Parts: sequence; C-alpha cells; structure tokens
Amino acid sequence: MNFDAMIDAIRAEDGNDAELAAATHLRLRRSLETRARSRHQLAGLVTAIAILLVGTVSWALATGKVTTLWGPAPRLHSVAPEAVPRSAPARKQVAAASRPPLPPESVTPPAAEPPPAEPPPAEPPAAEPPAVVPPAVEPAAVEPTPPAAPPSPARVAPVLPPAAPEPPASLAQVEELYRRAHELHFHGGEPAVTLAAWDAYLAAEPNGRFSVEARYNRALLLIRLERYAAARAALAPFARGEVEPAGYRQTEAEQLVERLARYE
Amino acid sequence: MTIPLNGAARCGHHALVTAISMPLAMPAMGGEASADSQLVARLREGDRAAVEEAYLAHHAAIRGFARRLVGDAAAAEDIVHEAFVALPRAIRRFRGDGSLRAFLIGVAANHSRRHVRSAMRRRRATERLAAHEDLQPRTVDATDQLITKQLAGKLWAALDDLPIDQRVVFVLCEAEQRTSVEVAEIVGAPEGTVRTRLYHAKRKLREKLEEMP
Repeated sequence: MNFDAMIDAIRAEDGNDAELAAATHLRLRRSLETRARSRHQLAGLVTAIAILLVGTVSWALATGKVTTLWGPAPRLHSVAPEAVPRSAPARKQVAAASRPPLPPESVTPPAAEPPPAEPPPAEPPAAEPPAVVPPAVEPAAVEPTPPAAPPSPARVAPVLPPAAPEPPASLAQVEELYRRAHELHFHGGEPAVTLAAWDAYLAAEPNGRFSVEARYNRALLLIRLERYAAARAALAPFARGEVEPAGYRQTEAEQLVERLARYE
Repeated sequence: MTIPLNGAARCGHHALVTAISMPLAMPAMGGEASADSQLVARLREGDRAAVEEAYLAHHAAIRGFARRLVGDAAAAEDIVHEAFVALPRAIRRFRGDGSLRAFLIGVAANHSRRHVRSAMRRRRATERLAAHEDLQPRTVDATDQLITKQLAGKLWAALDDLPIDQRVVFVLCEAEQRTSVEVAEIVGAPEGTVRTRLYHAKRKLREKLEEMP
C-alpha cells in the first residue's frame, strides 16, 4: 500500500467549501449573539441583586434594624450590675464606634410601634424592679391598664410571672426556652407571648449565655406593649453601661431611655 | 518569509516537493502580522465583530486542518465553530510571538478530541453501509475520486488507533507539511517532543496499514 499516496489523499482535503463556510459563519454569529445576551442577562441580574442588597442594608442601617439583628453577641456570663466596673471607656468607645451613628429619629427600636400622642398612664416606678434582675420578679399585672382604653391584643394575653422559683432547668430545656423566645422575637411572634417566652428563659437562666441579649429584647417588647416605664427601667442598666459586655447596645439604650422619658 | 521545502527543515521525512505538497498554510507575512496584532487587540477587548473578521480571514485553513484531522465534514465544521466561539476567551493565552492562524489551529486541535471519536464512530457506521452499496463510478474523474477517498479512508481508519497528540502532529507535519518549529508552536510542546510523536505515529501507522487487507 502506498503510504505517500494516502497522505496525498488526505492532503487533497481542503477547507474551501463556500456553502459550509457560510453556514458555519451564520452559526458562529448566532452563538456569539447568544453568549453576549447571556452575559448581559447575567450582568443585569447581578446588578439587580447588588441594588437590592445595598438598598436593604441602607434601610436596615437607617432604621436601626441592623444593630438589633447583627449586634455583638453577649458574653457567656452576665455579671451583676454591681460587679461591672462603672466605666470602661475604651471598650465603650470601640463598641460605639463599631455601630453606625444613628439619627435621633432612628432610635426607635425595630419592633416598637409609633408612640401614642398621649402618654400612657404613668407607672409607679417603685413597682418596677431593676432591669438586670431576672424578670420573673417583675409582675406585669402591677402595671395599671388604662381603664378607658379597650384592651389591646398585646394586653389580652397577660404575662404572668412564675408563681415560684423554678428548679434549675437542664441545659437542653434552657436552650429550648431560648430558641423558642428567639424564634418568636425575630419571626413575628405576638409581643405578649414573646415577652412571656423571654421571661421563661430568664427565669431558667438568669445569668446565662444569652441573658443580656434576652433582657434587651425583653425591654424592646415592653416598649411594643406600651409599658414605657417598665421598658425604661429595663433599659437603664444598658444605657449606663452596667451590663456585660460593657457598652452592649449602650448608645441605643441611652437614646431609647431619653425618648421614653417623654412618655412617662 | 516562506517555509523551506527541503526535507531537513520539515518535520516529516516522506514528503515530496511536488506541486501538491506545497505548504498548505503559510506563516504570517509582515503586513499580515500587523493586521493580526490589530485583530488580536480587538479580540482581547471582546469585540464580537473581530471574531467574525478572524473567521473570514482564517476559516479555510482551520477547516482544512479539521478535515484532515478527523476525516469527516460535519465533525470538522463543529471543530471550526467551537474554535471560533472559544476564541475570545482563548486569545488571553496568545503571546503574540506566532501567527494568529497557527494559534487558531492550536485552539481547534484542543477542541478536536471528542470530535475525532464521533467521526470515527460515524466512519465505521458508514463503512458498514457502504459495503452493501453498488459503487460503480461512471467516469475517470469519479474513479479517481473514489480511489482518493478509499486511500484517505484507510489512512483515517489507521489514524483512529493513534493517540490524539500523535494524530495532530502527524496531520500537521505530513498532511500540512509544516515545520517542526511551527508544529511545536501550534501544539505547545517542545520541538523534540513533536519529532518523537511523529516518529511513533508513523511507526504505528505503518504497522496498522500492513495489517489491513
């Protein structure tokens, strides 16, 4: 068999086929157009997602929700107010600097409803325990309900403190209490029910891992329930920086306390 | 600059310097190199029109290589199409020390692997069908074409047993009569590797062809 003849036979193949060249040219053009279109669609999608993300973050920063949701995690142990040093300037400044400055209008907590034009009836301050004390001590029923106003849905479900100190709960039980309260708080739970859930958690673990966070969230719920005096009392230790970690939500708490004072 | 046609400069040892064995793809000339650099710059910018310009300028060379490589017109068109679609991304690897045409042949060779296999399957199926056909050419030209087709078919069938790297080097050196320098540039391998691949390809082909009826 002639090897060179075979090579010549292959060599005779050429690429000069006008019809096929035109067909492939058209096919190539379509492929390039499709690719360009896909790239534009992808770019548009990415731009839309970026705009949505920036808008959401801006809104969250402006309304203060980002600090509520992404605030620094509390320490494992909550220290009693007297054990906390009165001033921890460096840590406070760092904590304050890490948060974006909020305008006065933005200090309203995310869950809080607009304050009523008429301040609610003042609550006797003596009836409110210090906020850092486990909330089981705070009797919700002590707060007088305005007799003229119809009972709001939040007040329909009374927040009853535990009748007696509960025995120490197991870790799993405590975690379950926290998980439930957290779920209710951040996923549309009824304020009164959520408050009860936080109270239950704090009763089970008054100085636990998430107690500081729980107390702060509980204070916000008090605002939602229009129990401003109780909320102010609960927020006072935070405003003074008397919780551990020092400076935890201090700026927000200061602003909230200041605003709540107007409604008492 | 033209490719010297003496045997020492070419990577093959069997090519005869005849009219039919003239180099099928010439290297870039000065003017062409300048046009190439402008085209490459536009390709790097993602200019779609530049891809079409590159196609119009080089499709015949790429198609010729693809056909000689796979021995199947449809598979060759697929290779041409894929090579030019991949060009905007592949051009990032182009260093500019060779011609755009040589680079495009390299891109086509990279995309030819699966097409070689599909062409091989199609060729075997066609051979079985052709065995039952009455192939009686009526004219001398038709007879000549038939013989050419049969010879090419035998060589492609033998090439089907080669690794793709050896197949590409064989086609570039023997069928396209390119120098080993050019082939090394196209396949991105040292010249010595190209010669070794060609040596093994030829040896295997001879053995395979001797076994054929």
